[in-house]
Amino acid sequence: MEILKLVNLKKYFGGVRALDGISTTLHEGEVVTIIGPNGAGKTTLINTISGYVFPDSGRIIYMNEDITKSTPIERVNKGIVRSFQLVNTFDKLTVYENILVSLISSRKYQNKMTKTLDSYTDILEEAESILKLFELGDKADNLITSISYGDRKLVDVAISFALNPKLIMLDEPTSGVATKDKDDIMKKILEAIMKTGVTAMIIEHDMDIVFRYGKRVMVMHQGKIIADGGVEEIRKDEEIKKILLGGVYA
Amino acid sequence: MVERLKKAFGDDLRSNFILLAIIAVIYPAIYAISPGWGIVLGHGITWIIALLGFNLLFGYTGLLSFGHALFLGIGAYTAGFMYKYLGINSIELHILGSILSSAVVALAIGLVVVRYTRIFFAIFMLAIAQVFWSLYYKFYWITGGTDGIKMARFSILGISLEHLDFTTYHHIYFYFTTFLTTILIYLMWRIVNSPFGLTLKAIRDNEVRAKFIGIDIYKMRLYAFIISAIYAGITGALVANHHRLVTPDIAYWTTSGKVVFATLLGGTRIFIGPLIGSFIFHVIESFAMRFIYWQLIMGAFIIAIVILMPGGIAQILRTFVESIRHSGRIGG
Repeated sequence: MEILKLVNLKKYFGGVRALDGISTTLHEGEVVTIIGPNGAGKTTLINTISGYVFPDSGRIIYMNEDITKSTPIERVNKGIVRSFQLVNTFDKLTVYENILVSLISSRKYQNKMTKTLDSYTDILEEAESILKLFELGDKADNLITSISYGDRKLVDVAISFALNPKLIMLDEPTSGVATKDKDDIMKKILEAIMKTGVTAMIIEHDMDIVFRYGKRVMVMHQGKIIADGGVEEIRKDEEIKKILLGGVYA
Repeated sequence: MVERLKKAFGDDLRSNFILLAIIAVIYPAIYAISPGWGIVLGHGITWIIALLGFNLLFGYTGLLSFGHALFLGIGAYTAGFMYKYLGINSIELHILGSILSSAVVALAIGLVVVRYTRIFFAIFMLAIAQVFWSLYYKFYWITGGTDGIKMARFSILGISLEHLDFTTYHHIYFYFTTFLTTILIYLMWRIVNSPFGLTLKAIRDNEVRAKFIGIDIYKMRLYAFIISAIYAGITGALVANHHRLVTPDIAYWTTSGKVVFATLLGGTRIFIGPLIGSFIFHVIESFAMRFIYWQLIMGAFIIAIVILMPGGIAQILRTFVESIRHSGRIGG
């Protein structure tokens, strides 16, 4: 089943064509990795789908419904959830509380103010299972700022997962993480995606990671999708290699 | 599972209630030795409520209101008007009235101000509070201007207290307020530890992410603002009855300053902070007022707090208590 359909999306920032006619389709349960040199429009694409910015033209169809003009909150309520490139967590709270907040929002408990949290065993149990999913159980009671950057990235993704999304968009989940930890984080995230069966869109810079874990790969360049296909197909394409490397090494 | 929600010293109800109980027990003795200090404790217990309200907004939601005198004024003038124009001197009705009036005013103002944060919110609140102050000041044929509204002694449960000696009257005020404060502390504790309370903290820490996990930030802030205002309004009504006089001073910016300062003194990140802050503030104030330059002494205190103990006295106390508990565990 089609979950997301983008029709000729355009977003210009002054003269910069961040999105220049993006059209594509995502099916339920699909995991798409988006690659491309800096400034290709990858983050803008996620920003547009999540409602962070609105497109200049084009349409976003989500589960057969036009959501082009929906607010971010409406989209979250429909199951479209994103994470950010830089760690974006609730910094004075513990790991556990970070996940709880997300569960509170997803269950629409945020207006409940007469009973204390310990009486909401449903979300407390769910928080435990999310901690388990990301192997964060032993760090749950620590302040989010006191754990490693890689773990904070995981919490960031866990916050998104706690919203019980249908479509999750992860903006460089391994950026800023030490190379030796990248594999571990990516593995945990992909495992979580597989277990929950969520449709996922992942921006990734690290080619090793992409070619190791990706299935469907979408290549963006100057606001356009220049290639879209299986990981082997993309890996062999010399033209794409030139563009991807050119941006950095030319 | 629930163990993860266990509270450290100061954030648990027990430490709050123990502190209140200690104050309630030593109060008669202190009053017997020196009525003046007994009254200072009366101020302390009265202002806890407003500080709790202020801290829901500041410590938990991240909105610094530099105009909470607005709601103290609303509460105090509600009580004053109820007495002056309706002849009501029941303290329970004054409190109910002030809850209603501060909630209505907070809703009207909140719809606009909670769209702003940081310095913009602080200054906006200051400006609105000053407008209200000038109304009380200028419309003297209604408010009595600087002479204010003089009030008779309040009645409680329909019983007049006019015939009592002042000491008994003050004791009744003190224990009534302690009772009320206990209930309001309990309610506030439930609020900050509810799903709503955690959501407020999340908004405080990261507005953008909060929005992207589907939280209606504006609505949450508005709720917090109204609750905060109600708490301040209740203190306003109590102050009016404690002083038996309502003047524009209660709505002046220095009152807002007092709320901010006393809360900072106690500590904004620990629940017990406002409780401690209210008492310590009034004790320091009564010492300092013996000198001509008492504002200078208060000012020096503010600087000392900001530099030396940003966590307030509650933080110091917590460190102390935890270290005792810890050493006890090792020793045992």
